[in-house]
Amino acid sequence: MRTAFAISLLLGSLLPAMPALAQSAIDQTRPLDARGSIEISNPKGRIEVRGWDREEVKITGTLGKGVQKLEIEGDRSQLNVSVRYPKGGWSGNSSGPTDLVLMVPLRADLEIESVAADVHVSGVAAGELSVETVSGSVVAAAAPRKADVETVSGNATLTLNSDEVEVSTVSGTIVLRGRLNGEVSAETVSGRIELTVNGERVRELSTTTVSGRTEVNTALARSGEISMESVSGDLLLRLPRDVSAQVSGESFSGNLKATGVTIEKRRGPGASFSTRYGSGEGRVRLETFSGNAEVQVE
Amino acid sequence: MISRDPNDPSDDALRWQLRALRRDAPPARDLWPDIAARLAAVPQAAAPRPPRRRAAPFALAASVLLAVAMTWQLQHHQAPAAGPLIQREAAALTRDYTGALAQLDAHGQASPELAPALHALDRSAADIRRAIATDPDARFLLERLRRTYARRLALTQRAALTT
Repeated sequence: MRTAFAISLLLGSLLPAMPALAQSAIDQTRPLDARGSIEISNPKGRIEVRGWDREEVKITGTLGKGVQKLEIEGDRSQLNVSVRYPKGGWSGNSSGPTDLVLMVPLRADLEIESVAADVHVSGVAAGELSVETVSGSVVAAAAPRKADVETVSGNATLTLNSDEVEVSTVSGTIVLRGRLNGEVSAETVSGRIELTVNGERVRELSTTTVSGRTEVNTALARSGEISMESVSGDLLLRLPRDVSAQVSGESFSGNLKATGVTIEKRRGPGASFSTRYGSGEGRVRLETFSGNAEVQVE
Repeated sequence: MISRDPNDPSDDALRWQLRALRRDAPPARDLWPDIAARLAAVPQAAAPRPPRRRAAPFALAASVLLAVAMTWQLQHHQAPAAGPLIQREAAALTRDYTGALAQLDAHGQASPELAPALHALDRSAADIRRAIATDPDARFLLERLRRTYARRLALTQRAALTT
C-alpha cells in the first residue's frame, strides 16, 4: 500500500514534465551578419527558411518527441543550427519529427542538411545555397548566385534566378525553372528532369539520366553549349526559332527527330544526325542508348 | 559500328580520353589526413566537394575509394585482354567497384531510407552494362557507369553513417 502510494506520488511529479519530453516550442534569436553564413541540420520533419531584411536569425518551430537538444553554435559571421537526436534514435517510432522555421538575412549563405525532412527555402538571395537530403523533398524559390541541391529519392522543385545551378537526385524528380543564364547541370538516375529557362539564354547546360525522361526548354547564349545524355530515358529539347547552333544527335536503338531534318538510318544499328540552325554559333548534342531524342525548334 | 584494332594509334587517343574519365573525388581532408596525403599523390581530375563535418565511417569509405583509384592506375599498365576497349574498361570498373562495395556492404544493412535508392542504382548499373555489351563504342555509357558506381559508393558511405 505504501509502495503504491509512493509510485502514484512519483508519477504525479513526473506527469507535468511529460509534454516537454514529447514536444516543445522553439523560439530563439541570434545575430548574423548580412553576408554571414548559416548551416542548418534536421534529420526528420521540416526545415523552412525565409529571407528577411534583418541582421539576425530567428528560429521558431517545434522540437519533436525524443530530441536530445537543439544546438545553436557559432557567432555573427557563421551560425550552426542542429537538431540532435540520440545516436541512431531519429528514425524509429520513439522519435517525432521536428519542424524548424528560420528567418535569415536575405544575403546569408545557406547550407541545409536533412535526411527525411522536407526543405522549403524562399525569398533568399544568398551567394551560395546548398541543400542535401535523402528522402526529403526540396522546394525553393530563391535567387542565390550559386545553388547546389542534392537528394536521393526526394523531389526537387526549384524556381531559381541563379548564375550557377547544380541539381542531382537518384530517383527523385527534378523540376527546375527560372532565369538561368550561366551554367546549369541536372543529373538523375531514374527520376524525371523538367527544366525551363525563362527570359534568359543559358551559357552551358547539361543533363544526364539513366532511365528518366528529360525535357528542356531554353534559349542558348552565343557560343553556348547544351549536352543531354540518357541511357534508356527519352530526351526532348525545345529551342526558340532564333537559335544559332550546330546540333547533333546520336542513338543506338532510339528514334531521333529534329525540326527540319530528315534522319537517315545508317546500315546496322544506330542513327545519328548533325544539322545547323541559324549561323551555328553554339553547340548542342543529344546522345542516348535506347531512349528517343528530339529537338524541336519553335 | 566500327571495330577497333587494339594496336591502332587512334586507340591511344581513346585510351587517354578514357583515363580522363577516372575522377573519384577525395574524401574530406580534415577528417582523414593520412588518406588525403596519399590521395594527393594520386592524380585527381575532379575538384573535391567542400568538406563536410562527418565522422569515422568515411575513413573506411575513403580507403575503399583509394583502393579503387589505385587499382585503376595499376590496371592501366597491364596487358589488355581481347575485346573492345570500352567493354574491357567497363568490366574493370565493375570489378573494382563491386569489390569495394562488398567491403562496405559487409559493415551493415542500409537504412530503410536508402535501401530503395541503392537497389535503383544497382539496377541502373546493370542496365548500363547491358547497353555497353550491345553498343561497345558508346563512350558516354562508360562515364554513366562510372558515375552510377560512384554514387552507389557515396550512398553506401551514407548508409554506414545511418546504421
